[in-house]
Amino acid sequence: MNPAMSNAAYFKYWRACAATGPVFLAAFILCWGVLGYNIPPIPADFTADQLAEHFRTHYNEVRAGMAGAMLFGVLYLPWTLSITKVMEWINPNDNNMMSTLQMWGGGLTVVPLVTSSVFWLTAAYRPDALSPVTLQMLYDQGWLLIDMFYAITTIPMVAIGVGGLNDQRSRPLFPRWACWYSIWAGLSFLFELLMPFFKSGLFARQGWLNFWVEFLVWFLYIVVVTWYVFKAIPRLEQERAALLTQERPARLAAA
Amino acid sequence: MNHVSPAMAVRVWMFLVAATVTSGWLVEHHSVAGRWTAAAVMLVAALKGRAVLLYFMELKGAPRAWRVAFELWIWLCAVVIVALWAVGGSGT
Amino acid sequence: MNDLVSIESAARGSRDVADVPGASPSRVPGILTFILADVLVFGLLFVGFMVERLEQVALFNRSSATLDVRLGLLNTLILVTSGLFVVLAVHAARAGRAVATRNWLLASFIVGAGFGVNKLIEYGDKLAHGVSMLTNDFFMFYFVLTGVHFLHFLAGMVVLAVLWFKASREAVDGPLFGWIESGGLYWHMVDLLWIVIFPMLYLLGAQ
Repeated sequence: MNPAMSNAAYFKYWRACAATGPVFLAAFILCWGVLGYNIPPIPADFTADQLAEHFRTHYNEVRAGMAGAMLFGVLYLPWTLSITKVMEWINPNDNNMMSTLQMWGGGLTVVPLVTSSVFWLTAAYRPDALSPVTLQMLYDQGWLLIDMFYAITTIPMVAIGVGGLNDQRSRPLFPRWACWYSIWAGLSFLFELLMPFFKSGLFARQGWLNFWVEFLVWFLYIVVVTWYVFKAIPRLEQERAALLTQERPARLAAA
Repeated sequence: MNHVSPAMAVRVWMFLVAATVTSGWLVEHHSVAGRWTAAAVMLVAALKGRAVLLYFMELKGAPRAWRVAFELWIWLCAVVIVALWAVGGSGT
Repeated sequence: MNDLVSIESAARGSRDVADVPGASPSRVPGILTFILADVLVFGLLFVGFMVERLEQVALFNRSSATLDVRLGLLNTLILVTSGLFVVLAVHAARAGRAVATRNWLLASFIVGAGFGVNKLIEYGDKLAHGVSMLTNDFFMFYFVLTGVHFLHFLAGMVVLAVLWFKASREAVDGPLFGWIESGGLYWHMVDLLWIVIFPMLYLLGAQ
């Protein structure tokens, strides 16, 4: 620890980064979900003509929604970093594998969020010039990408849980239940494996399991983790402040 | 927290085995419970699930909220399955 | 590096402050959250199955009748027996008896393996007869419910094996105990789910 760095300097930006989580969530639901017509998704068993009709009617909302989704989607990255910083303090006897995996996995989650939006944006860009099957393909591809790239998000979710469970504090920074929820939520995305095989029913992209349950599980994970990051920061400030006061006299004596 | 003793665990296991065999027997001799066989089998399943929850998982000694949540789950599963089975009729 | 040493003392310090003996007399394993979330989703799948069944009762009953009830019953007996052995393993671990813990874990693993063998025979038979997830809605649910359950089962077998292995090099009543207890709870969940899945898929259509 660099004792020359004050607590205020050390914890600068932590809260701002953590706050990007809820901002991401709200903006993503609004832009990607509401404006972009992805909550709920257009059913996979719609015909190409029905889908073309949708894009030719609502292209402007979709353009605005996807532009917003691509802007706010990247906020997943600073949010991820705030979790990493807290995770680095979880257990000093642990190496940094879990916090690093969390950082990479969370940061790379931006990729499916942003690139899938490009497909929907492409469909909304020239909906009159593109044929209905092309529009259908673009809409399908967006959904296949965002749903089937779930594993990159499973990595940070499991890493937070595993790392958090190694906390030796009697009141852990991330409570045991939140750790286990995070692990479970990440693994529950495995249901998406079935998504490509169905166009209707619970496993289809609009199905109650693969859409409503899985997306709510993910959204809830974001809320829960943000909550405990905000609870952890003041505790870590106290822990580090105590360290600073312990260390200063020791250094003076040594000098 | 009181833990389940090995003797108690063995008794619970004996109940689980007897209940499983009984379900199988009920299905093969469906004249005994007649058209209520499926409901009887689900009731037995709920009792088995409850035994696993309370004794094998030791929820009997866990905080009330946990016990209630899991007991509610097993009974809800059984009731919903039996209710929807009854609504569906025999399908013939 | 310096950082880590300091953090270590920090964590120790905070522990001293926060540790209130007896503050949590009924410490509940956090894995119950995992288990509850998992069984809730299975519960939704059960409702999904039953609602789908309403529209095609005859088809569901006909399909269900092709399942081998005896294999299903045998699997139930296997899982509850394996579950009993895990209870005994946890009991032995709590008392610090390492050899007994390992033996019960091994017994649980060996008996549990029977479930996997049975299930593979069953899947093999279905696929050999050209029955798959896409045959009809009943078999979609059959393969998904038993398949997801089978993945849980496989994970549980890995957990039992890892615990058996670790119990040979660590004290079973030390930090490892929490993992043995959690692993045991997880294994009971595999048992619990099968207790509902089996009658719902195999027996509801009994005529």
